Amino acid sequence: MRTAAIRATSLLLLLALWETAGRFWLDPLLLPPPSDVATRFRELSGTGELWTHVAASLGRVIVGYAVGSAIGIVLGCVIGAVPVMRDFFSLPIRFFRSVNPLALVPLMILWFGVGELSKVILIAYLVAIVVLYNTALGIETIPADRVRAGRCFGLKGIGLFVRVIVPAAAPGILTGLRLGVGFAVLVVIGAEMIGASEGVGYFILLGRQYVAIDDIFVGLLSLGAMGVLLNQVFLLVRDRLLRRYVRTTLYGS
Amino acid sequence: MLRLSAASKRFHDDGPWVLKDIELAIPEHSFFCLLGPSGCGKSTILNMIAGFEAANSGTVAHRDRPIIAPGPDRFVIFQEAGAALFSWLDVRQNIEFGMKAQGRRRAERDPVVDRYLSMVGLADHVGKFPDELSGGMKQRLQLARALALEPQVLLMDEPFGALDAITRRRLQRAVRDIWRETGSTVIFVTHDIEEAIFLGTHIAVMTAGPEATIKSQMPCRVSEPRDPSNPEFGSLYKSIEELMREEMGDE
Repeated sequence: MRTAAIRATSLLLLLALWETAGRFWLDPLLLPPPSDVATRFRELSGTGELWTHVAASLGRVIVGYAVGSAIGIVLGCVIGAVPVMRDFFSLPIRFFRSVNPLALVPLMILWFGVGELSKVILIAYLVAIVVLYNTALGIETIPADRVRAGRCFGLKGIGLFVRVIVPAAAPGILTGLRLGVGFAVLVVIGAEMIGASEGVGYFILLGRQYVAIDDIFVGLLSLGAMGVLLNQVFLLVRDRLLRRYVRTTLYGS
Repeated sequence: MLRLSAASKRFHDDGPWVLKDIELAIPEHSFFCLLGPSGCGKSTILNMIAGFEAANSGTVAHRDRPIIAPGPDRFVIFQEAGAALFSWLDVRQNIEFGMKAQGRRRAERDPVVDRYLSMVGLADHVGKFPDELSGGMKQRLQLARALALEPQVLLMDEPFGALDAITRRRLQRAVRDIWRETGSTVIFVTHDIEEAIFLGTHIAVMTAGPEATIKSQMPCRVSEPRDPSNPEFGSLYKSIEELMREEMGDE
């Protein structure tokens, strides 16, 4: 309750500051106040133009995220559980972690064209790296006695992996999946700015070309809202369906 | 009989021997306490019996079969229950985990789970998760999930080291009662002489490492009550204390 009140206060203060700045201090053409942005938002959503772009971005995020997560979990499990694989992949992972996916955009476009594929691949790439890294870390940080207990039960190989190692690594896997949501939203915009005919990133770029700063703000706000919303959906699923697996994160052991 | 013959262990080739020529014969149904100064390798012996680690030379065998891997006939009660329990399973699921892994049916599992739930006194806490249990209750849960597999040998590695005195005493009584009721062999590692005399039917004292070995083995036939008011308790305590003092020097 107290947290909610503080969060609401922070949001209201920010809006008030923005409104004052846009109305009285700065040129409203450069910083349109939230009331103007809200008007523009209603116009754009009324015609459906905004939703076309949001839907396009959201679709890419969801597909890229799903593909990236699946690859990340599988590879992360292999790397975390098989020491040879850990050594084998450690250098490439460190390498690819430092290559900003936006730097790959030109290459993606040349290889896969300006269509959906290159954007989805870009999102999947970043999500996969984040998920893979946290999954492997989640497995490596399982307390040794938890695995030993599993072996006392007579488990080994795949049985041990499925019944003990994966659930015990779940906090790490879920951390990776949650970070992945944020990164997917981050990277989709960059991809859309370079080669797309719809999507929130494209819409923001259009705003720049027409010096429609209120459009840019509508785009930015939808972007932030998309991130917050997806994160809430993630937390809802985690806390409703997977709560038992994050108890060590939430309450300690 | 669980037997270690000339069992030696070191962790690196060319490294120092942690354990040297360990000779132990642990009879069936005994409550065997392994006493020794900290760091002497008591837990390493337990890990070899559990099958987590192999001896570099010599043999470790249970009922004349060499121990090569962990198995449900020898179950370990770990010191840190919070790390060893399955945090994603509630009390009941932790206890039935082993039977489920063995593919036993629900109708078969339920009465076993209920039996050990009440034996360790956790029947009122079935739906709780490990993080919602106190330290003592976590150890009871570890005991129950081990007992549910009805292991021939229970290996306990200073299981009550982190508990307060009263909880500790209660759990010691509980373990002794459970041992009497189930007839399993218990191998109990501790550095607490009083705990060893209170619980044991046999006591082995180790030398300080490196190259630790068994210094002395004795039966523990102190009559009830096993507490300092009993002169038999006092005299056994004194002689073990003397052995331990020789090993630990003047600290």
